[in-house]
Amino acid sequence: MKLLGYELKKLFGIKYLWVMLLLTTVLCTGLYYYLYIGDINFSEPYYDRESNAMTEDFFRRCENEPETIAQVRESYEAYVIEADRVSEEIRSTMTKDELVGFRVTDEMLAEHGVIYENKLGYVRKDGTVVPDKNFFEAYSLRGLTAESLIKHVDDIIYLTGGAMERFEAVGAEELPIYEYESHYNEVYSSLRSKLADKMRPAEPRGMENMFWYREFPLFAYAFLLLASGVIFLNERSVGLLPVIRTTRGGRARTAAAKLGALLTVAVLTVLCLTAAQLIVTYIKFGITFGDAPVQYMCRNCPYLLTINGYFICVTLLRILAAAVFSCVVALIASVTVSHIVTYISGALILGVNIVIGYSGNGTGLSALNLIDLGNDALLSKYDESLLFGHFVGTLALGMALLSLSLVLSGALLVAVGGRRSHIYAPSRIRKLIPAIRSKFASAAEKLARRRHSYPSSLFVWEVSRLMTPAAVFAAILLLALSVYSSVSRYTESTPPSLIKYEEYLNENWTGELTDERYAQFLKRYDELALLTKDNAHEELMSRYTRGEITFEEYIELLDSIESASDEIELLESILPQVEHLRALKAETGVTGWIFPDTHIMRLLNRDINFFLLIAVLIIFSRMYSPDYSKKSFEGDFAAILRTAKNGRRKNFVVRFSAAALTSLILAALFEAADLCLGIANTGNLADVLSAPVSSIELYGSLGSMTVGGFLALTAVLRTISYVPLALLCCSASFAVKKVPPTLFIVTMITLLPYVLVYMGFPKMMYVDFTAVLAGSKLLTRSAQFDVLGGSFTFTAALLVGFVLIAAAGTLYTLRKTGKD
Amino acid sequence: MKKAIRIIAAALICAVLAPGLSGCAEKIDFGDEVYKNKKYAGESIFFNISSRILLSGYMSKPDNIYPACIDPFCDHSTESCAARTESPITATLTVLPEGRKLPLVYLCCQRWPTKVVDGEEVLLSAHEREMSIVKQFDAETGQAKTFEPVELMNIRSALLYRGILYLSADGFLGEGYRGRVGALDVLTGKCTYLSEENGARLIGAYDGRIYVMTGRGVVESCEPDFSDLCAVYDCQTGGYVNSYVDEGMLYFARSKTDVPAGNSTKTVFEVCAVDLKNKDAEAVTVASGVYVFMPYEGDLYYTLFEYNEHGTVSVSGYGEETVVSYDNGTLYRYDAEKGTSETCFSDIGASFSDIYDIDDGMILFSGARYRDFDEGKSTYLRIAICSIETGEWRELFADDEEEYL
Repeated sequence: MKLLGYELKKLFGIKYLWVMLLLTTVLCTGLYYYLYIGDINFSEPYYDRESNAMTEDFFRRCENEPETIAQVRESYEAYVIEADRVSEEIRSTMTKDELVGFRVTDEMLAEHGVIYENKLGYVRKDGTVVPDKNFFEAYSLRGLTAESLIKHVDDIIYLTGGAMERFEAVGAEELPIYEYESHYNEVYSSLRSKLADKMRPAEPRGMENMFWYREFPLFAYAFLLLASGVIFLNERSVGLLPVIRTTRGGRARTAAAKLGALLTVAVLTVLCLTAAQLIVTYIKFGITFGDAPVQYMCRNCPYLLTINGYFICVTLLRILAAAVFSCVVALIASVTVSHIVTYISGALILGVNIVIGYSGNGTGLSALNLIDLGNDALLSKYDESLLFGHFVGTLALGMALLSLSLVLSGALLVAVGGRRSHIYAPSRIRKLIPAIRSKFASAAEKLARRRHSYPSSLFVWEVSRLMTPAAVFAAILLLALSVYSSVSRYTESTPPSLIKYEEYLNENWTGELTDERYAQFLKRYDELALLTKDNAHEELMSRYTRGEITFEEYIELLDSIESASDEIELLESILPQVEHLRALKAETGVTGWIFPDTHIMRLLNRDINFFLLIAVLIIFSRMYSPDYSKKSFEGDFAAILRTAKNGRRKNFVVRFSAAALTSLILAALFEAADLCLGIANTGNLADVLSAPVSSIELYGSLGSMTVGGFLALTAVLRTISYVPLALLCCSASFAVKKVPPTLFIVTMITLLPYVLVYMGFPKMMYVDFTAVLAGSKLLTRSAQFDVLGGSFTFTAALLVGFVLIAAAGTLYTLRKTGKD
Repeated sequence: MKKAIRIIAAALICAVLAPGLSGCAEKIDFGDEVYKNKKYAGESIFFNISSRILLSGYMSKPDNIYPACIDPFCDHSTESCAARTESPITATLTVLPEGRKLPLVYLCCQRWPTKVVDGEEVLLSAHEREMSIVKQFDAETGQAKTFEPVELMNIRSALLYRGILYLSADGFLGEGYRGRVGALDVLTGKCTYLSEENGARLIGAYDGRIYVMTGRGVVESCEPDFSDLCAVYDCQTGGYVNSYVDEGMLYFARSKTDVPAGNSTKTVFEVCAVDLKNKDAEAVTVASGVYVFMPYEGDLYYTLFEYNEHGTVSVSGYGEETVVSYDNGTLYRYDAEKGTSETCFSDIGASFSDIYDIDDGMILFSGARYRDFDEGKSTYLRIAICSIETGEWRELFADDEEEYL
């Protein structure tokens, strides 16, 4: 317990960890607000605290003053009957066309003398009157809901029973599907017998919004991924370790204490995020009727739970899933002792779980992933999973799997921690090298020799320090993923209609749209329009029936009308492009080209390469952390360099040069791979390289720059822009000295604006530096934001801003290096 | 030990993740049987109403109708329902390969003409609008698989042979809608198309070859991969006619005549038979004045046109209706071996306007009830079933039942 206390105390002492938790909470709650609260129409009942309170008050009045309410209701119903009659009258005077989308408004009814004055007297704080009908409708719904929920359960029992009967009739009782239906029948029959007594008129509100938020676990896992790294990878900087290491019991107990601390963090994280969500929900909606059966919210839920009970169960599930994820990540961290491998593995585990969630056509098995296990997906309806030919309830299976994983990973974690040579050894990765060397002798041998021989060139030393075997492995893995992503993007199948469009365009119209070609285009369009006029078919048919043409001629002419219809449709799809090119010529004097842009756009309009971004983040965020996580006696430079001012200065220059060069080479590799794949899979690129890129409407503001020039410019931008990013990582690493906060800071600077733009905050484009990393996006946004009147001012401003941030970081590091 | 720990850690992660990844595609052995025009399979009957398939419980209790989808949470109103398509079904085919208890049902429909792009509903291109969707519903698992859209417009009939689903459609834009036949591999989802300049419609399969009728009335046959296309018999009709190839017998409507039927006209046929097993066989007239016909196990089942008025009935919401029949409720069978026709049953009180399927001594049909009709109810029979042996029949599904399912 003392050790656990010590570990917890140590954790609570890491301020940046809690800052990261706070930021994660803010982001998680912000997204919840944006997705499930921001768009709600608060003028309707049930949707905010104020209207909910009024509805509650109305229900109380219904019980306390039934006669008054009955009178109001009577007059309201009389109004409804009269309004229906008048509405019917108004509609009867209208044509079918006029009736499309037509709605009789209160104003129209008032013109006909049908007016209802709200008598219940509910007024919002802003002075708006809440219509009486809202309350009457709510009251009607209140009674109906309980009845309809029971009926829904009855329907499930009836349907499954019917299916079982059918299977029995054809002798298919041995099929798994029969077992599936009978399980459902059994579960809901059992629920039905208990539920009937619990149902009563109720209208729970607020809480359901919380359960719709299925993105919740992602935030918890993202934070826990960083936290696990902090707990299990930053240990080498702790001075107490040499003492603990001396006894085997000490090691095991320390590992157990760490596990306890980790689980505490997992619990705290889930509780913190849940509490924030609960507060926002309460402020906006109020939370009522927690003791009503949960079926009011999740009508398919097969368990007899109150809403409060359901909330507790979901929270426990979230905690359990978070604990499992933390343990698995911590296990990876303790085995590999590498930030890079840990974070990549953690991200991969999340990615695979997301993929599993989308696979299997929504079957029970696909729910067995950490995302669904971390929200209410398993509780909201009865799911079964086919296991060895038998169906098992997915919830039971999920719980068993989670518990087993938790016990196993926890035990392994303690076992790994308890071993003498583990966790606290200088670098486990280095120990792996002999094994790899036996298979890949020469390359690994060179690398190992370099690692141990301390080369005379400080530059080479710094590069090799950055590109450790784990970093090289991570870079290769990410490059492979990037190539896979590029292949998928560029070879994505084209719909037949677009292939036809491209073929037609290439055969007939691709090229410069001169005045002559424009005239030809219009002429062809008119010819086709004449052939395909509205009554062309009828005219042809009458010519045939009059005997003016033979059957063969009729078929031939019919064919020509059909192919003309086909062609005119294609021409019409080109028309907007032609109009854009004419406008371009009139406004800028640039003669644009017509060409099919389907494939070319995949190459021109590329988004940021996330794999490269991840590679840069994880490699360069480690620049300074080893200096502070290793002791001098463990053989690192920091202690020696710290003693001499000139040494530190020299080391700074070398480190930043190494980072710049390495990032440039890395970016060039990723970009070259993507570009080559893009060019190889873009069929008509060579034909249009000299065409002005402004021929495509999206790039209309880029004047006479050619497609080739645009490609080259974006490729250069996409390569060199990673240098300032790498320098930024190095500066942040120097400032905070640890990998997780460095990663967090740089991710916030780069990806937060990107996410916010995606979420619908266009103003964040001004600080979305991923546009610089994406290249083409930077240029297109210039057209969107006419900053200070210049078409490239936005480009310049963002580019300069990005470089300045990196430069400021570098200068800060330079200054502090001298003083450190 | 270190290795062991790593292996255990990897296994642990796999154990957490792997279960969700199971459920690989199963290869079904369809054998050499030709599955065509089927709505029966084993004990079950599947038929389509608009964009859903419904299951008539089973042969021994055929008037229990259920949605074919077995998910108790599904309201069968959206495309996510396994037994529903995105637009009205144009053709279905039910197959029950050896070793299965419950069938696979293939559903064909046109593509829905719009799609949602960035939250907005936009019209598909003319080319895309003409494409069809084929969906495979597995009654054993209650799950469905949708294939990539095929370049066929209005699929009218389907036939499955050796794992290839042959689809016969009205044609495609730019081809003059002359009829088009496609072959969809149900395992890979790849679709190929028969190249026939006069257009083609699928009429059957026999002895390892696929049979089509061209737009000029010529019956042609080809290998299952559409190679070796050659003319088999010229029906000399100058265009498409109703025709079938069944167990080596070709049945086709040689001529058609419009005959008066009350205030309108109906088309009747002279139906001929050709024994394709005999290279020199000539067409033999089966019957004239045929109203509907359908082959089964090499023989031909048909009705003869006879217009009768049976009085009037008052139908709720529609007013008075004259009860008419276009045959006299009699079914005939042409025995291909003997070359003679015989009566299966006569005057059963219901007439046939379409025969959907014949199997296991039962006929699935639509038509009209002209005897023992109830006041207030329509005499139209949407889906009915009749025994060939006894002529006993019953209505399975009436027009006004749809809203309850």
